[in-house]
Amino acid sequence: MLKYICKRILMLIPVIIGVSFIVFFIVNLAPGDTARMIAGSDADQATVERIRNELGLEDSVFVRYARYLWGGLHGDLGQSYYSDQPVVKIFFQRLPATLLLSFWSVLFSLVISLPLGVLSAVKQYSVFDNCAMVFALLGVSIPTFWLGILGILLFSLKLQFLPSGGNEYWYSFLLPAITNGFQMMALTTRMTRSSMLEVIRQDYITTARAKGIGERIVVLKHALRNALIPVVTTAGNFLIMMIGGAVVTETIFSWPGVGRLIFDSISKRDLNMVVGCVILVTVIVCIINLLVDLVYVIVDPKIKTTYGIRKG
Amino acid sequence: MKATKVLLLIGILLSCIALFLCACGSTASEGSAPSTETATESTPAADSGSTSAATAAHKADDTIVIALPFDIASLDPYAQNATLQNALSYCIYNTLTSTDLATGELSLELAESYEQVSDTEYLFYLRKDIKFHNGADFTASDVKFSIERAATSGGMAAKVSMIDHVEVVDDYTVKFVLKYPCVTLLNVLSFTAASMLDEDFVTANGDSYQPNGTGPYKFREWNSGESIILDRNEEYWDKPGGAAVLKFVIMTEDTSRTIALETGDIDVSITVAAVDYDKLKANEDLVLYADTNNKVDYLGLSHIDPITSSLKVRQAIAHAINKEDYIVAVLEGNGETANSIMGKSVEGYNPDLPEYEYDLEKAKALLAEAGYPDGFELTVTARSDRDNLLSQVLQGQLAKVGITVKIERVETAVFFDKCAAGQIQASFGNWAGMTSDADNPLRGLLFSGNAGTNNRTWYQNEQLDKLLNEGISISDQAERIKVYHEIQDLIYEDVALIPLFCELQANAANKDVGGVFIPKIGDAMPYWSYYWK
Repeated sequence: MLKYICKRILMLIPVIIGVSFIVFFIVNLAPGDTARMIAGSDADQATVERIRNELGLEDSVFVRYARYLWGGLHGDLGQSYYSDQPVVKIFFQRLPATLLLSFWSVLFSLVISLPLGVLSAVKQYSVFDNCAMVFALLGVSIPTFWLGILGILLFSLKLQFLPSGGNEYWYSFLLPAITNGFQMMALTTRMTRSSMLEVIRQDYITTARAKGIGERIVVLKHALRNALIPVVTTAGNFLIMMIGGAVVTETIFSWPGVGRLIFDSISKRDLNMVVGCVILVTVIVCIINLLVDLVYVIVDPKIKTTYGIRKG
Repeated sequence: MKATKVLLLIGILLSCIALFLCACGSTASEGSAPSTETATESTPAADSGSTSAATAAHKADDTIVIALPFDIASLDPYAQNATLQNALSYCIYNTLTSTDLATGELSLELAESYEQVSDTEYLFYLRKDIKFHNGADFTASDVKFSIERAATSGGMAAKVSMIDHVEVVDDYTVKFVLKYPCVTLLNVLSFTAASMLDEDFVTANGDSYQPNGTGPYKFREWNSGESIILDRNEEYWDKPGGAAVLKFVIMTEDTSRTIALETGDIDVSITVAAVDYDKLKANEDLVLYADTNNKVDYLGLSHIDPITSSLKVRQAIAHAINKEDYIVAVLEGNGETANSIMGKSVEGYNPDLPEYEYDLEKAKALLAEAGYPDGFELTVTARSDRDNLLSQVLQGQLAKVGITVKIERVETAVFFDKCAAGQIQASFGNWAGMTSDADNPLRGLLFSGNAGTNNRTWYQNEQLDKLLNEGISISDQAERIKVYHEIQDLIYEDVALIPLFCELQANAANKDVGGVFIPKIGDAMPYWSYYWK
């Protein structure tokens, strides 16, 4: 297992270099003059040129990439063109909020979707199943923006139960996490249901029932565990999307996350910040993928063999 | 069973529709005529005695929580020419002179007095015993350092471009030498472009320094993307700040700010969307502050484009525009038409300047004379959702005279590129000068040397340039006003720009927060004056 983990970590290096290359070139070749954006619309051309020289933007994109890569190998992902603060520092200031939101979003969605999906599968075509599927359909259809505003109106304004935004209180994450996780909850419910339906029709489940094993153990221990693989995949994908992608939720709830940071940096052409954040997000994504693969092993021990991990 | 399922589904569908209608319902009155009169503050209803727990906590801590609509990229006063950063700079730093945001009046601040030695030389005598937040003395060398730093900065160099160099005469006397005569120096020195920094502190700490000024508030903490906290400077040399603590929170979404204000999570909301005006006015715990300032929105037509460079075409478009339509459609009635690119509170504004009357027949006749009897295609470049809305209104208006408006939506960075290349045929813009001086908006938007930057229309008129330079060299105010009246006449005759409207600027606050008002000058708000009643 350790060998496998080390191998995956080493694979990070070519991935990061590849991502940095692609993102650097895309961002630097996009239309729009970074020096002009920093100088402002009323700066004269001499000032713009001076800023361009100071930031090294007059060099060719290949030279700039080589310089960036060299700095990156030394742990320096550059500084924000606007705040002059190191990119790494600003990113890690924002990361805890993003991780907090992502974790609770996934947890909320799994806590609701797993039982819902399992029960729907077990009681297929029942009233409960139909209601659950309609609920899941709503979850997929309702825009995050609208749900967020509704949540604020209900829980913050009417009930005065939760804050309307920000990250000031320990419970501030609740509303954003529920909003963010709602769609995943809906998707995971449907996926759990269909996966369970496939599994509970298997012969070994029939055998388990025939052997007199209680229904609860059959469903939760034998069926659910085998049905979890696609659910784990979905949860992993969702977690990856939220690291750097929850811009709408972060905007509505004024949540100081990485998503808004990247979005604002793109608009302002803060190139160092964009490239640096994407690289750091890539590292996190690779780590999450590795963790998901390890969870597969826990859920389904048969998978160990595909990773070349053998006992004895 | 089947019937039960159908009934259940119908029930769920009806519930969804009901939920949808509840969420999308509006409390605004229907059919009300648009208001063009400027409003001041809405009077709250009689005190109901209700205060949220959050508001009570803020009052107990003497903290005012202010929601800003944009993120702050830097607290360096020279980093960017951005309105919100400017306002925070006024809390932390002082300048040599100061513009009263309420009246536009210019006064001395860190300078105790000054003397104009010649057309291009000014001596400033500084106040003594002024200290920076870290306890260091404010002296003449700090002035020299600050101006030189501003002159080489990214965001503010253009603002201080008239200053050739600064000389330290003694610890409390400094001489400004200008490149050319410029009577607007005192106005320029009141802008955040001339915020006074501590030379030793900035030099020692490099560019990653923490803000350290002489202003009414000291910097405490900055949580990136979340909040900035300032503490009142108890040793401030002048009238102290209002609240003990100012906490600025970043809330970019209009609806979120309004709701946060209603729940008491914030105490002041900067910039309120027009759709929320009625709701806020109806809330007895809140006050809506709305007024026009010197910001004017305009339509700019390219003076180098083959079609719009024709005076008759520009005149035709001016006659085809009904300014009221923008106020109704985009501002929801919250604004007034503008006859000049200069705001009413700017010195030299001409209230008697004529406007191009709305006359479609005249517009069509002018187009025919210009050689476009069947109209033409006009591309309007929009860089924001607001510009997009304005462009849509223009689209409908110009269609009546045969002009087809094509809207080109681009990002700000691309917009600047196109400006610099002279590729923008038409665009909307606005200007709110940070001082009451007339030169600020006019030079920015119309001076030929600024073509391709703020002068997006590439208007290049030697006579206008000459008048602008004359305006900044005349010290007699009455004579200056005559020059600026002449400039406004020229803008009108040449259709250099088409002034459209002045939008109501609106903030909202808890009724117990005092010191809130809409400045007559610029977009910066007087946060340092906010206090709990």
